[in-house]
Amino acid sequence: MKKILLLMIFPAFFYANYDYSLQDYNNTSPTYRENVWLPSYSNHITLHYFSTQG
Amino acid sequence: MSDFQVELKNDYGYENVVIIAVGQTNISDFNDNFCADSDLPLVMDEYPELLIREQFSPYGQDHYLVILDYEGNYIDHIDLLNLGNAQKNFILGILEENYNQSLLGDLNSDTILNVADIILIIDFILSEIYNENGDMNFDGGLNIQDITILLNIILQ
Repeated sequence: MKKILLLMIFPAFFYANYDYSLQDYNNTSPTYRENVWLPSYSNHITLHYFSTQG
Repeated sequence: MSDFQVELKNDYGYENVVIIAVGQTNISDFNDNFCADSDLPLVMDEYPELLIREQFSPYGQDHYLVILDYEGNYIDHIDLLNLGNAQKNFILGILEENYNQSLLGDLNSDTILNVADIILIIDFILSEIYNENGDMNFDGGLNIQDITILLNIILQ
């Protein structure tokens, strides 16, 4: 039972962090058309700003 | 927001900090406004699934800024309806606490130079992506010379 519990808990820790890799659509950005945040900013502290309006 | 990114880099020396805008594919206003005179990267959350917002839930809300560390772990968030001094100081405090001065060649920011960094530098070269932390000879590009230098440092 303990083993089953560990198997259930471990993946939850493993996938606890966030990630995505999508094309940069800002044509004035230095990473335009590259995939961000991964891999282009993989060694960065990232600040993700969510908005639907300017 | 773009000005703040410049401020972080030029005034505080935070080279490895980036603000990424997360728009939505069904709304163009934000994208147009955000991109105007901005060098910040912009990604589009696919509507109606909005998978990025779902992943960042409950923080992926309108005007929220979510701050993650080098490994993509959540540090904190702030509702950024306005970017005033109070909000800037909040973000600067978090960066001061979490920012590591990068070690040249330490591409995965684990403060150790090892084979993992070699693998990452090869990935960058194959993906034709420039990463200044892997540019061991400061020639403005990533190539076999950077791998050789990094390998020599690791073997020393």
